[in-house]
Amino acid sequence: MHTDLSPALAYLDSQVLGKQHQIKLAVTCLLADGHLLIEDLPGMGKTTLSHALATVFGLHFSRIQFTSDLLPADMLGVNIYNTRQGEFEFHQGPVFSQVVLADEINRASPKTQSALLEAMEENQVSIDGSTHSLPSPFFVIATQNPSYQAGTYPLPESQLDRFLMRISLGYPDGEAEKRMLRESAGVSSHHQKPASQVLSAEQLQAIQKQVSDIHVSDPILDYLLRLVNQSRDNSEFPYPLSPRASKALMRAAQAWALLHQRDFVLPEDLQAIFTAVAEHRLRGSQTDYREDGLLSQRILDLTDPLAA
Amino acid sequence: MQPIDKPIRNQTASALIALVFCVLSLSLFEPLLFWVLLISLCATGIRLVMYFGWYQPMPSLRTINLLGLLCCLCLGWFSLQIGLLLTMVNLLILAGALKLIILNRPRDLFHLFCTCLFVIGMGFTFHQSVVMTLFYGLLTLSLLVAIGRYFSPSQHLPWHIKRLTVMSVQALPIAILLFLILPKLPPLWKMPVSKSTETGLTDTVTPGDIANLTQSGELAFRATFNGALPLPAERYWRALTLEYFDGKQWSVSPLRKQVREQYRLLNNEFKPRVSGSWWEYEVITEPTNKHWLFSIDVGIPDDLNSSQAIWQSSDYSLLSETPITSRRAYRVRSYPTTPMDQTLYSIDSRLNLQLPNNAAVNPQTQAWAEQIAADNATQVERVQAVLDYFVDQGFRYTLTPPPMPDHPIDDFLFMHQEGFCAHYASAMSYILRLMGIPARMVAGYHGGESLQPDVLSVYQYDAHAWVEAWLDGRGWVRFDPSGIVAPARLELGLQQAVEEESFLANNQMARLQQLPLFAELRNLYSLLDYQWSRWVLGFDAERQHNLLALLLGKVTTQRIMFLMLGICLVIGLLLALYFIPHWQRKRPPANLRWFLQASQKTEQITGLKRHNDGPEHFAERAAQRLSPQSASQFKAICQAFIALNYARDGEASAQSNAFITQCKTFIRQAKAL
Repeated sequence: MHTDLSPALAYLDSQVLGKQHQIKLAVTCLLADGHLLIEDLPGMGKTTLSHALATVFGLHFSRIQFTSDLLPADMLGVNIYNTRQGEFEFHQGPVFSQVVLADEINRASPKTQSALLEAMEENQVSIDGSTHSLPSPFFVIATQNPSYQAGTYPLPESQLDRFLMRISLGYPDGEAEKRMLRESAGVSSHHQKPASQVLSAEQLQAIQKQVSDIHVSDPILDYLLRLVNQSRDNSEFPYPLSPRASKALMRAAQAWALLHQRDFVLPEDLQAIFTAVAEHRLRGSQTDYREDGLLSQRILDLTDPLAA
Repeated sequence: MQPIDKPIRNQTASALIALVFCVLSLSLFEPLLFWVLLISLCATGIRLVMYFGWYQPMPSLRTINLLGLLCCLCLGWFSLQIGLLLTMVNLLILAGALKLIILNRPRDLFHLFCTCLFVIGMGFTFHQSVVMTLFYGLLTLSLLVAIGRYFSPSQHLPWHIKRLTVMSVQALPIAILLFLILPKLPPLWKMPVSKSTETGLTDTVTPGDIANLTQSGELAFRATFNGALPLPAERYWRALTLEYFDGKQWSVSPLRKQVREQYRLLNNEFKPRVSGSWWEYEVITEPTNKHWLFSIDVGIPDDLNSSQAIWQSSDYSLLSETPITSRRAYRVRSYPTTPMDQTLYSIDSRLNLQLPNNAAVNPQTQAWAEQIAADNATQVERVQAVLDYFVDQGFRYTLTPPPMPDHPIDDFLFMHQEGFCAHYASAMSYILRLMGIPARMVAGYHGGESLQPDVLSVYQYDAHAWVEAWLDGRGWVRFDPSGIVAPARLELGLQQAVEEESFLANNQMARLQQLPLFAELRNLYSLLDYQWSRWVLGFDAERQHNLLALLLGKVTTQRIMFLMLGICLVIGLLLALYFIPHWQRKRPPANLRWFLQASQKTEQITGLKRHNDGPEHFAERAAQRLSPQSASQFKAICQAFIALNYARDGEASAQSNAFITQCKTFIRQAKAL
C-alpha cells in the first residue's frame, strides 16, 4: 500500500542515537512538506540529523551558517555581469538546494531571516525583478540557539508560524551517549554504516502526495477543534492557535499516521505531534522552549479525545 | 476548571473592571468621603497605567497593607461623624480600591467582581430613579462583559457586548415575572438614615430657611387628582403648623405635641365634619424622614389604608404613623370650603396667643401693634390694617433680604421692608398675637407644576409659609401677606414673582429650563420618573395582592401556591426551550457511549485512569492489567471502535449493534489480572 519507511527510520536511528521520537517527528515534518525548526544548544546533533535526513531521501543538501553580517544576497544568490556575453547572469546561492540547513538562524539580522522565510513561504526567490523557482522538494531545517544566549535576534511570532514543527533534541541518555562515544572512538565491533540512500526524491514526493489522502474522520476533526478552541477560550494561553495552526496540526497528524502505516488518523497521532506543532505558536517569541511546563501539554490535559 | 492562582495575562478584563469600579464610586459621590473617592480614582488610574503599559511594576503587598491600615485609621476617625452605614459604604469602596491596585490573580478579579455587584445593589439605597436604575443596569452589563472577556479573551469586545445584550433581553421576561410574583417580604434591615436631607422643610423655621429651600429644584411630592385640578391660587399644601415663636424662629409647639400624644393614647383622633365640594387625589411623597404629610385644607384620608397610616391632628395637619423613609403614597380628599372651626378653641387660643419670653425684642413692633389695636376695634379691621400696611408701605418680595439679626421683625417692618414669604408670615402672626388675635404660621408648599392634566408636581422651591388667624365665628382663616405683596406668587408661582432676581441662582440646570426644548425634556423625564415610582417602586405587597386578586379572583393560599408553581414551571420551560438543544447536541452517539462504558469498567477493575488517552493507547495500557481473555476482548473492542469512529469507512454516528453487544459482553465478563 504505502512505501515502507522503516529502513529510512532505522538508518536515521543509527546516525542520531536514542532520539527515535524526534527523528520520527523530523521525518513527519518532511513528509508533511513543512519546515522544521530545531532549538537546542550547540553540539546536540542538529547538523547530523539534517545531514542524515538529506542523505536518506537522496536530496541535495546545503548548509548556510547564519551570522550577524550575513546578507540576503549571500544566501539567495546574485546577478553578476558576464563580460563575455555582455549580460547579467544569475549565480544561485546556497538556498537553491533541496534540503537547506539554516544553522543558528537567530544569529542573523532580521532582514536576512525574513529573506529566508519568504523563500520558504513562496518556494521561489525574486532578485532584481526576476523570479527563480526553488527546487522541489524544498525542506528547510533551521536551528536556533536558545534566545538567552548572547547575540541572538529571536524570530518574531509571525515567522515562527512558518515552521510546521519545532523540536528539541536534548541530551541523549547515558546508554546512547556511551554507544556514540564507542563508535566515534572506532572500538565498535561493526563499522559505521556507510551513507546510504534508502529512498529517492521522486519517491519522497509521491509519499508527500499520499499524506493528503490520509482519512481524517469527523471525531478527529472535532477533537482537533476542541484542542484549538481550548487555546482560544482560555486566558491561560497568551497566543491562541490560528487557523493556519489547525491546518498544520491536521497535516502533521496525517503524516504521522502515514509514517505508522495507517490510512486514517487516530487521536494518538494528534497527541503525538501536538507539542511539536503547537508549542512554538502558543508560546510566542519571548520565552524559551523549556519553562514551567509545556503549554501544549496543558491543552492536551484539558481536552479529552473521547468527549462528545 | 483552571488554576486560580496564575497571574492574569490578559489585562483587558482588569481594566474594564477598574473603569466600572471608578464610575460606580463616582455615582456614590454623596455618601462617599472625599478622600475615599480620591483613592478609588487613583486606583483606577494605576490600573489604567498598567493596562497601557506605561509603568508595569505593581506596588508591593506591604505598601498596600500599610495604606490599608492608614485608611482604616482615618475611616475610624471619620466614622464618628458619618454614622455606621456610611462608614460601611466607605469601607467597602476603600477595600475595593486597594484590591484594584494589587489585582493580579483571577481570584482577585472574582472578588472585585462580586464587590462591584454588591456595590451596585447598595447604590439603590441612595438612588432609585429610573435613570439610575438604567445606569446601574448598564454597569452590571459592563461587569459581565469584563468577566466574559476574562474567560474568553480571544473574542472581541463587540462580540461580548452583543452576546450579553441578547442574554439580558432573554432574561428580562423571567425577571419581570419574578418581580410580579415573588412575595414582597418586609425588609429585614432598615437604613439607619435615608439621606442627609438638607432640602425639605424642618419643624423649626427661621425666615431665611425657606429662602434657602427655594434654591433646590428637587421634587417634594406629586399629587394625582381624580378630576379637575385646583386653581393655582388654591394650591396651599399644608405640611405643618408652627405655633411657638421665640422672637426669631417658629417651631411646632411643645404643648401641641403633648396634646397630640395624649389624644393618641386615648385614640381620640380628630375627625372634622366636612361639607361642600371636594378634590380627590393620591399623593406620592419623596422621603423626608419626617412624619408630616401634605394636603390641601381641609384634608381627610380617603381610603382605609390611608386612614390607617395617617393620624389626623387637631391642627388640621396629617401625620404619618411612621417616618417617611422612602417614597410613600396615600389618598386624600380635600374640602376647601369647609370652615376650620371645629378644633378646641381653648387649646388653640392658649397656644396661639403665646409671645416670646424676651419682651425686649422687637419693641417698635409692640408699640405699633398697640397703636393699631387702639385705632381698630374689630378683629377683621385689625387684620385688614396689617395687610394694608404691607401694601401701602410698598413692601418688596425678595429671595435675598438683608440680614436682620437683633430685632428681626422691627427691622423687617420699619427699616428694610423687603423679605420672603416667611418674613411676612412671621411678622404678621406676631403682630396679630400682640393684638390679641390667635395666629400661627403654617409651613408647606404652594403651587405645583402640572405635567399631565391631572398630576401636580411640587418641588422644593415651591416651599411657602402663610398665616392662619382665628376669627371669632369663622374659625381659622388663612391670610397670605406675601400673596398681597406679590400677587404673581400666587397666580404664577415663585418664578414669576421674583423674575428680576436670579431664580434658583445656584442651579445651572434651572437656567437651562428657560429653553423650551429643555423644559419639554424635563417634563418628559418627570413624567417617566413619575410612572416609574408609581408602578415599579410603588409595587408593594398591597398592589401585588391586588394584582393577584385580579388574576385569581379570590386570593387563597392554595391558589397563590398554584400560581407560583405555574410561574416556576413557565420559567423552567423557557429555560428548557433554550437548553434542551444544547443538551441534545452534547449527548454522545451510541457507539461512543458504549465504548466509554467499557473503558469505565476497565478503569474500575484495573484501577487505571484513562486520562485523555485515545483508544489505542488505553488498550495497550489496560492489556497489562487485564486477564488475558479480557485483554484480548478489550483490544478487540478498541479496534472495532477505531474502525467505526476513525477509519475511512467507519460511520461514527451510525449505531452498530454488533459493537454494542461486544461492549456489553465485555462489561459483564471483564476480569482483572
